[in-house]
Amino acid sequence: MDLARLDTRARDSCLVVRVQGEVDASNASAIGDEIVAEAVSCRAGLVVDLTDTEYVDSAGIRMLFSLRSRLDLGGHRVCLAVPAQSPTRKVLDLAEVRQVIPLAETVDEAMKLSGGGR
Amino acid sequence: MGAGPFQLELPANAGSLARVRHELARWLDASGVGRRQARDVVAACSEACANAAEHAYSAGTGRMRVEAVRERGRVVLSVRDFGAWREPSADPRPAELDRGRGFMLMNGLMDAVDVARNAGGTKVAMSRDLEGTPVP
Repeated sequence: MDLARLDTRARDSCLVVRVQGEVDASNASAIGDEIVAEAVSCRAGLVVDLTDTEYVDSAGIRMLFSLRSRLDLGGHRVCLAVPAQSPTRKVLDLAEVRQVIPLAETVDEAMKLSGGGR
Repeated sequence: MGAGPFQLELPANAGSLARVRHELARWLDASGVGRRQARDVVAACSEACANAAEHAYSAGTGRMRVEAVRERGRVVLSVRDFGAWREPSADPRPAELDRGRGFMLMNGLMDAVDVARNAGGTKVAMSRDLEGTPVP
């Protein structure tokens, strides 16, 4: 079952990858690989936009953490966009995701944090 | 009265998680549980099921059973598997590392989390108080 899909667009020198659907142990690694593959085409910051993501579990959180080690080494800065009212925000806060990856309320703010925004 | 008890038994693998979440969410809605609280219960249940899928069975062929009841002022939920508990290996695979985070999330999302293991398997029992939600 195709639980999640990615929608990627370039904005300024940032790549914004919007994750729609649900991320769990069944698809987290595949989603992570897809995001890393997309990031090859971006010059500076990568924003993972979780605004509309319905669900992220502990495997999805591990995948997000792994993006940092997989991409920061290549010179990209990874940042998450997760508004306070997003479905996944509580779980991401409980897991203290922002201790590992910068987390912003909006895509624009995330772009600034990742160094790719105006 | 609202919905009766929830019961679902299915293969203990990651491919079952979405079905657990979707069916439990429907039941919680039919039971009059508000959306935010339902989301927490569904996430906690999915984590418990992911644990059962990852840790209980080496061959990936076992079953897991999810049961839930709506009591006055709370939802009580259990996830059972029927496999032998596997202790984390000395060099844990990445998925094994999720277990600690999974339990941390369950504890944060629910009001009580209790894990019981015996020769027959593992049972994770959880409950969530439903402040401000009328009993249907």
